[in-house]
Amino acid sequence: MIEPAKPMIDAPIAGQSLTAELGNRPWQQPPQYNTVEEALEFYIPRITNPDMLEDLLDVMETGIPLTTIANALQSGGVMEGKHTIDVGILVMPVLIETMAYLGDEAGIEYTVGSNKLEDTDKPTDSRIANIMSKIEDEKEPAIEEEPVEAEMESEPPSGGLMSRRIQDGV
Amino acid sequence: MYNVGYQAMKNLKLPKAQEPKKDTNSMGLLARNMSNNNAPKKEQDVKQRVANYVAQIRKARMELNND
Repeated sequence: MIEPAKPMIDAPIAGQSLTAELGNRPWQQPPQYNTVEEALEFYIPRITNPDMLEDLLDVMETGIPLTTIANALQSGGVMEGKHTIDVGILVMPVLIETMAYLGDEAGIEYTVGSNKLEDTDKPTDSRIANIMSKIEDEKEPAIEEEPVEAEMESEPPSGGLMSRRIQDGV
Repeated sequence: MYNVGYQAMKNLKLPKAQEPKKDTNSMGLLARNMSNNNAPKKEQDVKQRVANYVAQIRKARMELNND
């Protein structure tokens, strides 16, 4: 049975976007930076600025993924009318990589957003495990291990009156 | 969760390092060596340009980590 969707209480009211005059919002104006290169020329000096860099490294160290930080940066740029969403999304990988570089340079631990992003040429763990098992199979045939006879520890016969009788052969 | 940054990085196809092509020496005495690099470079796609930027920064980062 399909459950009814939960009401979106914090969603904008229908027609809310029409409450402001069209063109009053910065993102409704022509963007300030039209190309990826222009947008990067805007972002990179800001990121590498010593004042902002310190805060950025602190945020990165708290464990917030770089993808989230980059997304927040470019969303802010779109809201300010600096560039379009298209340019923002195109710029994001460069921002993420730049922040990773700065993080490595500063020697801090950070999260990129997914482990899959790093070392794309590196084979996956499952693939390595498969290859290793194949190599081991080719190397030597499987040796059957002799069953180790477990030594049965014989319990000392209890001499108490209330102790359980131990039957032989059980 | 739909992570735009992750999607953008995942869909990025990084260029592979290309070995420099050697010039083919012609056998004639007066013939000049024609290099293959004279061909005008095509204007790259935006995604390719971004991938190149990412590759350059990543290379620098790897060199930084290996030092």
